[in-house]
Amino acid sequence: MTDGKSSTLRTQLRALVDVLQTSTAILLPHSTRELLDSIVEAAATIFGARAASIALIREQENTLEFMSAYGAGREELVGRKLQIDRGIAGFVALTGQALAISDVEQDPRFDRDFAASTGYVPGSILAAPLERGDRVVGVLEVLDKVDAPGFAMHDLELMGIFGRQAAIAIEQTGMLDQLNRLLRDGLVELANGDEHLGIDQLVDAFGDGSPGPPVTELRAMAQHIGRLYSAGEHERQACMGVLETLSRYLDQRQALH
Amino acid sequence: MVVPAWSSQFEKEAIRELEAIGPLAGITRQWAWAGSTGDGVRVAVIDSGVAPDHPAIGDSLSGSMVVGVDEDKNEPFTVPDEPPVDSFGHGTACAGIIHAIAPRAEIFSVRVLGEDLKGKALRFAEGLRWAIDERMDVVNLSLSTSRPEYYGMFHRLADKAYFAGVTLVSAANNRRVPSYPSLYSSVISVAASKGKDPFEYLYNPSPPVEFGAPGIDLKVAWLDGGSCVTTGNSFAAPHIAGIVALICAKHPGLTPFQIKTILFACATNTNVENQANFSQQSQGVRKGSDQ
Repeated sequence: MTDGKSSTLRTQLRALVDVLQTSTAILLPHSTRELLDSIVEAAATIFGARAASIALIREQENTLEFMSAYGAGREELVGRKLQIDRGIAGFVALTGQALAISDVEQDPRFDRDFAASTGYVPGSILAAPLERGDRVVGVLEVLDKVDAPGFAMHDLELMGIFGRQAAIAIEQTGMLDQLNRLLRDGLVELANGDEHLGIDQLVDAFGDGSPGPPVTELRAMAQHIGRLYSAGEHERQACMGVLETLSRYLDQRQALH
Repeated sequence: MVVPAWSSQFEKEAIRELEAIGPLAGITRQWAWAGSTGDGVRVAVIDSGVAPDHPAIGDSLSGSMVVGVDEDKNEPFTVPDEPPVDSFGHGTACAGIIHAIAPRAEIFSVRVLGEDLKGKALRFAEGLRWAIDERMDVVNLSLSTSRPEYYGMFHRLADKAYFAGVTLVSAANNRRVPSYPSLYSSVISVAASKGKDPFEYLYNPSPPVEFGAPGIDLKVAWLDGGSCVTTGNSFAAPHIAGIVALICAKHPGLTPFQIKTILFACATNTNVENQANFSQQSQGVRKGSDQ
């Protein structure tokens, strides 16, 4: 590169870096937050629930941090932290076992302090772990089944499949977030660094990874599944059969990498 | 109806009638546990703790322990839980089920769900070790681990229990994943089947989950003297643990394999004709050989 070209590049990069550092712009298509929001919405749709939430484990603090919520009580919930030693979400996080509870109001204090402080106490809960391999990374909850007093066995099983795929998606998007940061840091270095570095190296450094499918597809899928699931027993079984087969296929494909 | 992975084997369409052959056919519910209250039998509940004052457990709570981990040495230890607590409700729910079936059984709570995430499987293994060393008659395990590095440790513990006459009753994971110790052959593994009668349980001829017991839409004890309605394999295991306690009280000194045989012979889907004649048998009229 000639001096003239590289100084122009550096100037342009500096300007770009300034913009990035002062804005919340996202360089890559989908952030973890967007994905989590779409997962809770999909979960509420699929399970016919009034509300849903995702909490991720913060291991150092022994807490569950609510990252996303859909439906009643959502505003108060996002960003809240729950100690891992209480509550249904805490139990699911610690044991890795899904739990379906209803008539919780009869219990005088099922973590009522937390629920009441968000202004929303659910009548039924289905909580499932989000797992990567043998590690629990978070908890997905769906609340208040719309057309039944509680969540049923088939909901428990579907949650298992759904939760597993959601955890994979979250992990992959978490990696995209890291890539996002790396890209930003890379540009900062490039802007401030060696004038012999060229744009080609930058392109090489980030390879040719392709983004995942748009999250709008997830929404559409959730609606299809929700419709099938509320249609009847045969439709549910057919849907479950397809999902299970797909899930196993994905597991095998995962194992090959 | 679609049910958790293992529970599908206990569906009406999937389960089949079995036959206890030869002298086994003479093992009847009348003989096995009629009249028993579980008196004198010690049942350990390895779980989130048991609330001592919950009405569903009466005065059956005879001891409460808690497992901690020495962080410096990464070694677990078991000490009395003072005061005894259950901050989740799950252990109390399990204890309540056992107490309802075997009202005179003594329940020992071993709290392994701690304040933090570290050393979960290690705590769980330590709680089980304690229960085995204390020679509990029955141990209810509604928890399991999927971590492969713990396969050996839990297998050794399961073997130790088996040879020491400690019967382990373990809930299967809701999904078909590796689950220790519930899937070992020496353990009595249980999944949820439909039905609410605690004495109606099924034997599955295609293990590794061998028994199906009530675990769907059950009303159970929960936090602070309350209750809730719940679904899951973890509430099926205490049903079998309670029945095992009844058997142990009536026939002291049985080995785990003898107990599993008795459970098989008395299952709702075994020797169906004999089960239908149970009321006759309770009056002393017996069918089949009686050696």
